[in-house]
Amino acid sequence: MSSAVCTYCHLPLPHSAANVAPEEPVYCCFGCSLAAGITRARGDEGRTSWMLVRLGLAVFLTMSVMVFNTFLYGQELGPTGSAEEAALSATFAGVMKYLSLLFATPVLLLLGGPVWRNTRAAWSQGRVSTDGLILLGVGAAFVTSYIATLTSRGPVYYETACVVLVLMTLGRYLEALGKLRASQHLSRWSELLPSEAHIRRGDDIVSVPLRDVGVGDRVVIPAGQRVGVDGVVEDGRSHLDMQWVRGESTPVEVEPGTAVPAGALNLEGTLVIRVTAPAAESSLQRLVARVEEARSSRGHYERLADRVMVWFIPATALLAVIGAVFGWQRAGWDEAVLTALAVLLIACPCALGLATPLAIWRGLGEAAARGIIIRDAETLEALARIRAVAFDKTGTLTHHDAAVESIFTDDNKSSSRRILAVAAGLAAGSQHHFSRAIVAQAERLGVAPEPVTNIRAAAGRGLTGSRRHSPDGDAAAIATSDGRNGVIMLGNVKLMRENNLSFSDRLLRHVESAVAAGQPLVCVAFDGRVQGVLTFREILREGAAEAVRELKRMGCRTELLTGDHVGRARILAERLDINVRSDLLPEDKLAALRELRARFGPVAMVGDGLNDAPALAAADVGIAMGCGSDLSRQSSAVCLLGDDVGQIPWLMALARRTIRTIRGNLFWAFAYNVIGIGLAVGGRLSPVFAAVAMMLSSLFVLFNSLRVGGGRRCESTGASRSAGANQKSAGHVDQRSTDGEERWGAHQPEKILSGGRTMA
Amino acid sequence: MIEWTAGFVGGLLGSAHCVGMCGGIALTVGSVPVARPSPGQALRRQLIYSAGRISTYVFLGALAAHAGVRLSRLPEGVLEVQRVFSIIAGVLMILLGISILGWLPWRPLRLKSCGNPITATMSRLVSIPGRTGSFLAGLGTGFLPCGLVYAFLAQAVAEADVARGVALMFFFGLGTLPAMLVVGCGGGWLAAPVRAKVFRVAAGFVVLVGGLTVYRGWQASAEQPCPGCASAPSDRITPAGSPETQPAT
Repeated sequence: MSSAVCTYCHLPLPHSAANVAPEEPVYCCFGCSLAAGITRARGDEGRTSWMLVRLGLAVFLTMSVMVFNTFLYGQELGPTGSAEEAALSATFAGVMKYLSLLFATPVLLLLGGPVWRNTRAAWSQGRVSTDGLILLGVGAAFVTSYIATLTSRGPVYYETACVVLVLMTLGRYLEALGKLRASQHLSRWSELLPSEAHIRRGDDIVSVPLRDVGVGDRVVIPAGQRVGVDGVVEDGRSHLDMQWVRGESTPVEVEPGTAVPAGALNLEGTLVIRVTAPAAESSLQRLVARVEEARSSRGHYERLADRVMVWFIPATALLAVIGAVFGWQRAGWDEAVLTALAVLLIACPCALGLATPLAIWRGLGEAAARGIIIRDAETLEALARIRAVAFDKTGTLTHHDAAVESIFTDDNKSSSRRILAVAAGLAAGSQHHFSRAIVAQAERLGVAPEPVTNIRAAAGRGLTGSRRHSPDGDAAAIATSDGRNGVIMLGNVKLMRENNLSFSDRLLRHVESAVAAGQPLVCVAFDGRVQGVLTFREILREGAAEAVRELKRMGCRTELLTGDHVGRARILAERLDINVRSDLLPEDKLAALRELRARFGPVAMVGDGLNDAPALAAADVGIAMGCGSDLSRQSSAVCLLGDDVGQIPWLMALARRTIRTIRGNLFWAFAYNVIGIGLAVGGRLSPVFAAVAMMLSSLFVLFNSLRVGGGRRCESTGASRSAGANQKSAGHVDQRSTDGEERWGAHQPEKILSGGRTMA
Repeated sequence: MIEWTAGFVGGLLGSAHCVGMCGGIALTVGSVPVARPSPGQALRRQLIYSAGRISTYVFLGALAAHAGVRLSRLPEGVLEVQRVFSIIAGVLMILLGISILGWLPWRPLRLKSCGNPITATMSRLVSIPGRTGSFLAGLGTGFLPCGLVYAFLAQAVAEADVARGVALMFFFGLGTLPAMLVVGCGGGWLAAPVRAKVFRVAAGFVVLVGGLTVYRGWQASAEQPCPGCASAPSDRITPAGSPETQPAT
């Protein structure tokens, strides 16, 4: 963890408080130490909620003092009768004052103590806490009241002093609860992990604390339990819910060999996984560390609040003194104390201090809960200003994998199935995305790959191999059909030309039209000539079109920046309804971003972070997708753990909502302080009302900030799902034309080749 | 004396309602430190719990009555405190009564969920063993939103005298004591059908008390057409409460 965080609310400590010895509980504010005192003691028999008892007793005593005071007021307001009655009422008032003294003093001791300790701690770190100033005012009110009670002259302010102390303490407690809620997503992450793991040792299964699990251990994960460590499945099959760690909304199927991250929830069967990283270094912990780092950063608005805060406390103290002088002139010493106390209370910058960080923390946490990791507060602010969104193509709007679109054969000599069988046999061992598309297509159509041996890669051009002469019946049948040396090739036109393999006119026409349209193609050759041509198309990501539409609705210019041929790009542009710039070299992309920024304003670039890193870095905000597998590799400002491009409009809306909230909070906090201080200095605000106003102001900011998270769920994702379903119903059309062309699934479902990548 | 009786009887009858709202907390208070406390222990805990509750009622009563005093000092004719608040109190009681009877399509003055901070803090308070915990839990319970309490607080405003307001709420609290003690100590004190019947009868009486309070509030101003003559506010409120207690006692 890079920065010190509060032991209670897990939020970053103010800079000056960060230099504390490790292992010591540290709190960012009085409220958090108070709330920790209240919650920590649960179950701890010795000091059971002593803090809560203190607070409760203080509330009771304050209530009593208030009752005595209502009697006192009643006396003052009541009708004055005979001299005898007046004397009686004076005695009664005296009794009430002594009762108030008796009940109020413990309140000062009960609640003043913790505030005093906190003030002293802050002072030793070189900070002046406003709570300390308020305590000073309360103390002065007590002294005034003691003197008045003992000399039987002048009014008493026990009630005011007690109410101020209670409300201040309650307010700080509520603030701490609010902060805890703002950071709850993260703590939920860590809390969700099981505290111990079941390790298989030989035939036994032993339970060990999670932190003691070592690399190579075999951990048994029963259904319904979360995976505590990163690992690889060794035994068992199941579906895992990875929403928290990868942002995947649908459960992912796992089998032996699949890597599983810490934090995934095992939904069905029992799994045995081999641990690949210690618990403290699991992907989840790295994630938590990254978000915590983001939270400790300070954005523009927070720095603004910080700058104001620096002046706030001295200015407040000065105003309190001015108010006191006016008060003293107006009505003497009592009024001076009350005015100063009211000024200190109303000017307490708690709302101002909470206004920005709470909203930012909530925004960052909310995004993290959906698998979006934002680097820092400034990025969140920048996201709200974005006016144009540029997309990289491959891996962003389209999958890395392609799909076989058509297979063209040379006359009717070889059926397209046979072409596919040969191509699949050769492609089976290759990881090239065209190879994967071919193998997947063969699988889908139930075409058995032809056995091929001696496979070699022809760098940048394709693959060569030869038929295996095995006792296998099918292979033998194919082998006898040509009777030649059995060399087969799969690759681009260049590979064919180099090997002097000829194209028939028919195939040549297909090749030319495909090249003209910018469609990628692969040729299949055996028996000494090119026998077929396969063309490919890209698979759009689910929700890509909806995301583009939603961004446009939000007033963002959307552009697709691609190095693709213009024809190919045009097809995509039509499918996505997006502006396209094609044939771009990497440096052209940077120029395009500059131009977009000049025309529309701040630009966000969305890419997969692999081949578009310069563009991501050049944009105002770089958004990398699919970084769930290795977050540490990513340096983009925003990382989407999953591949759901539909998250981007949601993210932009979240950022805008957060900034709106911050502005609202700041406006409120400033306005409240200016008006309140004006009233208080003029002696027009009683300290009790100032304390109530202070608490309400903090609560307003608190609720307003917590509301940031309450946005609608990502609608575009839902829309994309139904759109995907529609596409499915239109797919699987086998179109066989009369001239021997066979077009498989021209409108195939987008996901057929997605394999392990989309994990759908 | 009259407001004492009114408060006590109101609390006694209305506590059918209290059982529904606060009975659960009372039960928890009784069972927290030891699984099966002796009857004496349980009774002591319940009494301390109710003492906390009554303290809050008294506190709220003092505040309400103080507000009444302040309001009655407003310039003449601005607000007829006694009249207006007596009527408000009566209407609240009537609404509450017919709500308990189930004659309202909606449930007024009833909080479905108390919200997280309140319930969380209450559960912490309840979990504190010892007398202080019970007392503080009672103190907290007194602040829970409750139609009956609000009705009597409105009546306390109408009293426009701190001592009277305090007395009203104190006796109201005492009135709620029997039902809460029985529930807190024993739980199933009556068979369900009998309980339902008792509830209905009590609710009927609450409506009656409410009706009479409204009537008295109305009368108070009718008898004294000069509401601004507030030199002796208690004079005007004296009739309120006396006859309506008759059917109940």
